[in-house]
Amino acid sequence: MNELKRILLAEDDKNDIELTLAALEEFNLANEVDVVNDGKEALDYLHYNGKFTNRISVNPAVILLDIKMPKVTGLEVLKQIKSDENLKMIPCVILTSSNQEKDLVEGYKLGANAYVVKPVDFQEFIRTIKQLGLFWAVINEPPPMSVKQK
Amino acid sequence: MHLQNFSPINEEGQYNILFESNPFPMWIYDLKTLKFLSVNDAAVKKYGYSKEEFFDLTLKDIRQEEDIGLLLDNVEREIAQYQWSTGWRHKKKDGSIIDVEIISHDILFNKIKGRFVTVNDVTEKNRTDENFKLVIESSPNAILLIDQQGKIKLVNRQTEILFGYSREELIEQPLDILIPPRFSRTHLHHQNNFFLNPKNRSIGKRKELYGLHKNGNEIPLEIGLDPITNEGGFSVLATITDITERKQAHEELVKAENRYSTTLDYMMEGFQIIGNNWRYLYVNNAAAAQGRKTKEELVNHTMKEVYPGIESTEMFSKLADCMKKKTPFSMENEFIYPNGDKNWFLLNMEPVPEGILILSKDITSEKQIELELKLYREKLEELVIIRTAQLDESNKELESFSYSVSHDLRAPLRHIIGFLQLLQKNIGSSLDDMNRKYISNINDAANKMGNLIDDLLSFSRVAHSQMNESVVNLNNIITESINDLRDELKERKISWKIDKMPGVLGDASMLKQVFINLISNAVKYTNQKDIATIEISVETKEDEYIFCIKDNGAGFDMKYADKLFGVFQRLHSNSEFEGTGIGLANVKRIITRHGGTIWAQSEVDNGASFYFTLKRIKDKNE
Repeated sequence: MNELKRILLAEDDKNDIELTLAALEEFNLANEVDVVNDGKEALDYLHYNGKFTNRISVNPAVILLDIKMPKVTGLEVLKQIKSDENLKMIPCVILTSSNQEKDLVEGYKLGANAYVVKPVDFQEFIRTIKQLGLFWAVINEPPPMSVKQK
Repeated sequence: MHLQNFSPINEEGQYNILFESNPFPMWIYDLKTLKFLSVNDAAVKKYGYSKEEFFDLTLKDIRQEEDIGLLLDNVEREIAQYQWSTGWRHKKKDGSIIDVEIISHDILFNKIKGRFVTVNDVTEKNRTDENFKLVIESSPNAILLIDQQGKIKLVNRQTEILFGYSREELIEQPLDILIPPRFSRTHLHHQNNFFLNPKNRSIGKRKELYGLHKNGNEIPLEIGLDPITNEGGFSVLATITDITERKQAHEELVKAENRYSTTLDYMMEGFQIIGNNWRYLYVNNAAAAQGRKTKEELVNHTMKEVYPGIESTEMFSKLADCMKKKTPFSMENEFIYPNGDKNWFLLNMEPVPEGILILSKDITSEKQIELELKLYREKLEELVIIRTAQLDESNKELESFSYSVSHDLRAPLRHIIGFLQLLQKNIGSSLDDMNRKYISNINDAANKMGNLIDDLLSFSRVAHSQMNESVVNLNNIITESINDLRDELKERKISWKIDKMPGVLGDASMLKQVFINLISNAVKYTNQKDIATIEISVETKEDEYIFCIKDNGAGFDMKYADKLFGVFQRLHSNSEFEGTGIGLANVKRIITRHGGTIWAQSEVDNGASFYFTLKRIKDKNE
């Protein structure tokens, strides 16, 4: 691969981060993942603010958003992304424990590209994460600005 | 007959001219032969015979056959003085008959005993008299002619009828016989006054006047008096009307009026009539009481006089409208008394020829109740709003609770399982059987807890989610349900018997959950059977359908039937049949939310039947 594709994982739960990374590792995607721990950090990351002022200038190929996060929730982050001209083309996947209908509807209304309930069963979880990573980071042709030639 | 009674007349004498040129027919006839001895020109002219013809005739020839006897009698009687007699009928040459009065006088004519006759034709006069008599006779009023002495001189037929006397009994009798004794003195006084100052007058109109019937009864009368001058001075013509009927009618009217006014006075509703000049024409007791006035204070006074300022009220303008446009109107009006009191009245205004009729009903207490009801209703609404808010609040709490449960309870489980599996992957191969079993047990327990959490959430959803009602095709629902269960149906032999299902009103996804639950139960509890039978049937009742899902599976002991639909209640161990005990609780919730009921019947090892009802959609033409 001579393209640099980044996956942004916005997740506050350390266990989930670890398990997600473990799953992505199985497909050798773990190195391409940037992790932020709350909604504010996610927005800072996207807007090159705070500690992300000097990060490499490329939009992630996909954003995996947990709904329940401190400070700014996943849905709020999604809303900001989808109303930002520079960011709205980034595929966003809601990744959550919740299978509550309200969140699902709200997520799609705000323009989520996918809504994935984290399965309790780990095998299934790994399968799901792998598929997501494979699809969004490898198969899917990301919008311009999301790719930078190495 | 004595000759000396006959005065001599000379034919050539002074009387000749009187005779010949007299305008009345005159003749002299022979008393013996009845032959005409002399006739004048007027007789010739009247009777149509020439003088020569007359001389060939006798008196009989100018009489009708039936009158001849009377004539002969008369001829026999000697007439010394002039005699006036009336009632004769003569026959002219042309055969026509005339009524005549005659004046006759016996004379000697050329030494013959004769009779001198002057004839007056009264045919016309009689006819006039006859008509007059007819008018009098046929008058519906009693007519009497009374002379100055108070004697009755003439009566008509109606007088006979009215007083019960015959004509003969009345003529020449004093009028007193027709007057009740108690009035006779006053009558005499009046009669004298009348003759002193005779002029037309009518009596009985203003005061009561009575006549006396032959049978002693008194008759109410009205009398008109006309003085009539005739040859005997003047008399009085009395025209009498029997007013018995009129009086009775009047009395009836008075009675009826009293009855109505008494009735009106007893009415609970106010009843009043306002004249076109805004004066009270009539008020009943209730109306006066409602207005807090006496009848006297109201009747003949205008509304403005009685209630100053009333002309600026809405009610008054409605009354004015009603009076002007002649259209009825009904309204509820709050009447404010001068002292500030207020009462509510229901007013019905009706135009009548005199003005307006107002029916008024005091509805103050109804209004009070209405007001209290309104207050109560408002309070209730307020209470409902508060309670709803509280309920909403608790619903929200519940929602956020189940939200946390779904997130926060599931996440650690996922982590336990996730790390356990990572552990197994990393060190699994170096573990002994027992430790591998431990890891597997932890994994199973965590998975089971995950299922319980999911069920709990689904139960909460069933209880609280919005129902989307539509007409649901249950045939499709059943097909889909069985299709969804295809994994469980693998390697199973099941004999299905499914009725054609009706459409019902309900939430499709919820009803599908019902069928999936009940069918999967039936499938699950028949798994020990070589060939399972599952029947899905429906029975149509008046207002509802009874659905039945019946299997030939393990069944249950009816002793525990009450536990069947409880949350997390199970009648079988997990080792017998897997399950969390939430399915039937969900089914019951759904059926209850659809207004139906659910029950089950079973015998251990003899299958189970689950029944539930749903409301029936009635055909339009039913």
